[in-house]
Amino acid sequence: MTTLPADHAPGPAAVNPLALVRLLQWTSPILPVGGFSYSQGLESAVESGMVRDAASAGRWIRDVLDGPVGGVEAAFLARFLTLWQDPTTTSYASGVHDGRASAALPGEPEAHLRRLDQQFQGSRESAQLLAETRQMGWSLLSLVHGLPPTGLGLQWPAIAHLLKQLAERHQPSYLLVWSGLATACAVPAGDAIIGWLWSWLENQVMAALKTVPLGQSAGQTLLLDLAAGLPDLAQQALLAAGSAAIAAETAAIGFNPGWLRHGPGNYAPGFGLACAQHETQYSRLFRS
Amino acid sequence: MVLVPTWSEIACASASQYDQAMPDDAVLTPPILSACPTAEGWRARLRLEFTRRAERTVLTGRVHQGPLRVQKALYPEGQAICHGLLLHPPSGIVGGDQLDIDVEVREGAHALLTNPGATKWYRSAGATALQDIRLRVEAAARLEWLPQENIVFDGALGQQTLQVDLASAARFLAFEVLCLGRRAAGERFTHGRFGMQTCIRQAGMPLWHEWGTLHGGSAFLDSPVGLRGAHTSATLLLAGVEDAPALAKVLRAALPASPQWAVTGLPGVLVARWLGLGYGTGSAVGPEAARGWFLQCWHVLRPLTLGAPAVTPRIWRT
Repeated sequence: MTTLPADHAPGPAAVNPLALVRLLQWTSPILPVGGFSYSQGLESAVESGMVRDAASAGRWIRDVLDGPVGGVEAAFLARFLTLWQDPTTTSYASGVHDGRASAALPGEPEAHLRRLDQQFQGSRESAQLLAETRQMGWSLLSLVHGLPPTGLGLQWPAIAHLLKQLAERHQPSYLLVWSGLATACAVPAGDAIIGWLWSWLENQVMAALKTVPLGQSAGQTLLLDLAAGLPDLAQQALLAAGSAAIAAETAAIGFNPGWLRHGPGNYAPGFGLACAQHETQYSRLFRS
Repeated sequence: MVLVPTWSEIACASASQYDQAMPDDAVLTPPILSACPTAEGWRARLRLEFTRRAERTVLTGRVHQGPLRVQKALYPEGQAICHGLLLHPPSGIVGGDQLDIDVEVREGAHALLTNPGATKWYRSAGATALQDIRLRVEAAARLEWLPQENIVFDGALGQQTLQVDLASAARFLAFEVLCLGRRAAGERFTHGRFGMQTCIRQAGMPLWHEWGTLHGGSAFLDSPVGLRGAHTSATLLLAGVEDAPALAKVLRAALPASPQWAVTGLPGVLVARWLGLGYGTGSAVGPEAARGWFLQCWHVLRPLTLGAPAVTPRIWRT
């Protein structure tokens, strides 16, 4: 047997192998939050004939991945993960919009997270996409509150407390709840984003297998091809969300903050049209 | 950045007299920006204020700098709704231009703004042109923002920002059309860049934000997720409504279904999109078709949410 080339050699052991195990659990398709029931416009694109084979399915999924999901959702996820790491670091003191001081009080982690989540939910393109993230957020929250807290990491009690506070005044998105769980389990941000994107991608390919339909081998080929881009997308998301200067700018403004403007944006009229048309699609397997 | 005194301090207090005959615009003094074309381009600024006086909406503030004006307050549909025509005499935006439009609609007033023709974003030699629009609508006030289409010439470098702040019980309607390249001349958007950002919030809560940058010649222009090869695209936003999903249903029932358009109802905002897709023989794909679609939507939505029947602005017919 020949030796593995250098880039295939086993790297240093993961810093926290348990965190990796937890990440696999939170990205697993059997996580009972209903992710399998959403196609995010793909079913509509199949219905209208735009997606009809492996190539067109691949293009659709790649273009959504490069824009609304890998560009915008991943950047929001990166911001959520940063906030969960230390929800009090983002200063609201500089949060002034049009000369008026922000209504949020400085140092209120619950308000920071809620405001970021409002921005995220305000970027959802259609009613079904918004309903999806809220339903999955609610399901995940209900699920984890029923799990033994000892398995969820040392930070979990503090994070669970904040989530509880948030859910009292606000319908949390899946991103908000999921990122809190990943943080509690000490999943490094870069890995969490890759895991999140993988689970989105796997679900899209599964939807393509059912609706186009495609064969299993075509599905695995799509995954092999599209997943290769995930590390770069995660890196870009971290860069977009990581700068402290940008984070301060983000703080209190309700409008689209600078860290998002640098990314590709959520402007995708074909995607928006497909998602909205799905609301009236006569025959459908999926809820988006 | 020079700190700009608020315009109400400068010119509004005395501007209500313009309600009757309208003299020339007040000009901001001292000049904040050069009103002359510089190497960088035109800098222009327009600030408007609409106020309700009894049953009437009055243009109480009108301050301009550089080549941006509102010519006249018009009342084509009675006293309650004031129409304003935004004029930009250079008739196009070139690289380096910076246009700022700032509108306040005071409590209970109802204003409609449009312009006499398309906004052309010309090819740029290197500088980016900016149009920055900020709209504020106070409690129980209404603003309809209905500019004619943006035409982005091949090679243009532009950025448009639309920020809307609504008080509670304020309503806002916007219709925006984007054309990439001069279609009549067979032009495509093969190079250049056009950035767009639209944000609406109500009582500080983000209702809608959408942003992105179109790159000339990019795959996104033809992508099924992007513009699907369409030259013309349009978005209708109706914000500050209590039951957008129900309104979306009404709209779907009233207009013929087509692959060209769709509507969705989000919390506090209805979003309808149109794409100029040539999906069959005879389907109209240009800005006139987008406007025709909008007029059908407006005909349904305006009486339900803005308290008036839809009346096509006369300037659109010329």
